[in-house]
Amino acid sequence: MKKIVPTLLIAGIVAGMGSAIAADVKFNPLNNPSNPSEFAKEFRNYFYENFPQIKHNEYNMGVYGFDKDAYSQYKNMMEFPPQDDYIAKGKKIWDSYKLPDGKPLSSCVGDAKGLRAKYPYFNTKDGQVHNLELDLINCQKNAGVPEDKVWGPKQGYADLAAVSAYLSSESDGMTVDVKIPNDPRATEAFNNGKGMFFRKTGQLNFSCADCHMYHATQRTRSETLHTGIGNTTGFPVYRYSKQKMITLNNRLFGCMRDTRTIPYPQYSTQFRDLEYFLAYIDNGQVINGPALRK
Amino acid sequence: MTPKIRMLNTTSTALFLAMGLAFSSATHAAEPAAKPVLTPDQQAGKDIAFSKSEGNCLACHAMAGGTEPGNVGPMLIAMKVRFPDKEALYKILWDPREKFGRGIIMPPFGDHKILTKEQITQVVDYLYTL
Ligand code: HEC
Ligand code: HEC
Repeated sequence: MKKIVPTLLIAGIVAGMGSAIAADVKFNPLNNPSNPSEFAKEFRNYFYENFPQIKHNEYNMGVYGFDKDAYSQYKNMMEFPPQDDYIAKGKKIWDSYKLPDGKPLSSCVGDAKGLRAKYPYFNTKDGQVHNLELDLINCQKNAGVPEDKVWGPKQGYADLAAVSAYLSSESDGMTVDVKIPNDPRATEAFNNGKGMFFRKTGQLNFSCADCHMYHATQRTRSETLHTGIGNTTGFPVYRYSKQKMITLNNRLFGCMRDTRTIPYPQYSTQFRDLEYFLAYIDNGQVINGPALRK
Repeated sequence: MTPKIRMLNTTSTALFLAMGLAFSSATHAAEPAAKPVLTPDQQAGKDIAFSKSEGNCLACHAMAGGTEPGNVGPMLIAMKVRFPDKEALYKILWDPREKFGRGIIMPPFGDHKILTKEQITQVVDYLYTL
C-alpha cells in the first residue's frame, strides 16, 4: 500500500499538469465571416468566454491583468517608473526638432495631443495603413533630411522611441478607435493582418495565435502568455530586462523573428497590416502607454 | 480533439499510469527508486532537451530536474510506461502534427530540421529515463 501513495501522487501531478489547459471554448477562424467587425466580435468573445477571470478593462495591461505574481513585480517596478525619463526626453526632442525647412514635426503629422490615438489608420488616398513612427520617419525623408540622419530601425532609434513614448503619454486615457473605411483595400489590409496572426511560420512553426490565443495565460518557461486583446494599448513599452523603450513595430518584428523565419522588413505593409488587425481588435480599450514590462 | 476531451484523456492516462506503476511496484517491490545514472546518449539527450537553443522542451513541458518549466504541454513523466513503443515517441518528436493535427504548437523537430535524427534518438533515450 505504501508504494501506491507516491504513484498516485505522480498520477495526480500528471492529471494536474494536463489540466493546465488554457482554452476550453474553441475558435475556428475558417468558420468565421470575413467581415472585420463580425470577426473582431467573435475574436474578442473567444477570450471573454475562456478567461472570465480577466476584467474587460484590464486587457490593456497584458499579463498584469491576470497574473497575480507578475502584477506584484510590476507594482514594485512602477515605484519609480522608468518610462518618465523617456517621456521627458521625447518631449524635448519633439519641441526642439526642426525639419530642414525649419518647421517642427507637428507641421507634418499634427499636434501631439491625441496624435497617438489616431494611429494606426487606413489612408484612402494612398491605400495604405499608416503607422505613427513610420509617418515621423517619412516626414523627415520627404523634407529632405539626409539619409544618415533619418530615424531608421537602428540609427536614431532611441530618439524615435522616446518621441513615441512622449506621444503615447499625450494620448494616455483615450480609447482605441480604429476605423475600417468603406474601401475594399482597407478590409483587405485587415484580413491580411489577420492572416499573419493565424498563419504558422518559421522553422519552429508557430503562429501568433498559437501563443496568444490557443495557449494564452499558460507559461512558456517563466513567461506568461498574454491574450490576443491589448497587444497595442501600452506601446511603446519600456522593457525592464532590456533597459530599453520598444516600439510596437520592433516588438512584432522580434516576435516574428523568434519563430525562426526571415521576418518581413520593418514597417513593411505586412507589419502595418498586422498592427491594423491587432489595434482594431483593441477598439474600446484604453490607451495606457508608454507601459512597463519586465 | 477538443481541449475537454484532451483533459479526459490525460486523466485516464494518469489512472492507467497509477494502476500500471502500482502493479509494477508490486512485482519489483525490492528495487529502490534510486536516480538512474545516465548513459552518454541519455545525457546528450537531456542536454538537448534542456538547452534553450536546441530542444527547449522545458519551454512547454515540466520534466524532472528542469527548473522553471512552462505548462503549455503535459508533464513528461513515466514515459516508458506510457509509450511502450519507442518508435511512437520518436514519431511525436519528429513531427507531432501526425498525432495531434496541424494546429499543434509543438515544433516538428525532425521534419523542420531543428534536431537531427541522432539528436532525436538521444532525446527519446533520455525521455525513457523519466
Ligand atoms: C512561442 C510563443 C510566441 C509566439 C509564437 C509569439 N509570441 Fe508574442 N510574446 C510571447 C511572449 C512569451 C511574450 C512576453 C515576453 C516578451 O515580451 O518578450 C510576448 C510578447 C508579445 C507582445 C508584447 C506585449 C506587451 O504587452 O508587451 C506582443 C505585442 C506580441 N507578443 C505579439 C505577437 C505577435 C503579433 C506574434 C506573431 C507574429 C507573436 N506575438 C508570436 C510569446 C510568443
Ligand atoms: C511550444 C511548445 C512545445 C515544445 C517546445 C515542445 N512541446 Fe511537446 N507538446 C506540446 C503540447 C501542447 C503537447 C500536447 C499535445 C496534445 O495533447 O494535444 C505536447 C506533447 C508532447 C508529447 C506527448 C505527451 C503525452 O503525454 O501525450 C511528447 C512525448 C512531447 N510533447 C515531447 C516533447 C519533447 C521531447 C520536446 C523537446 C524536444 C517537446 N515536446 C517540445 C508542446 C510543446
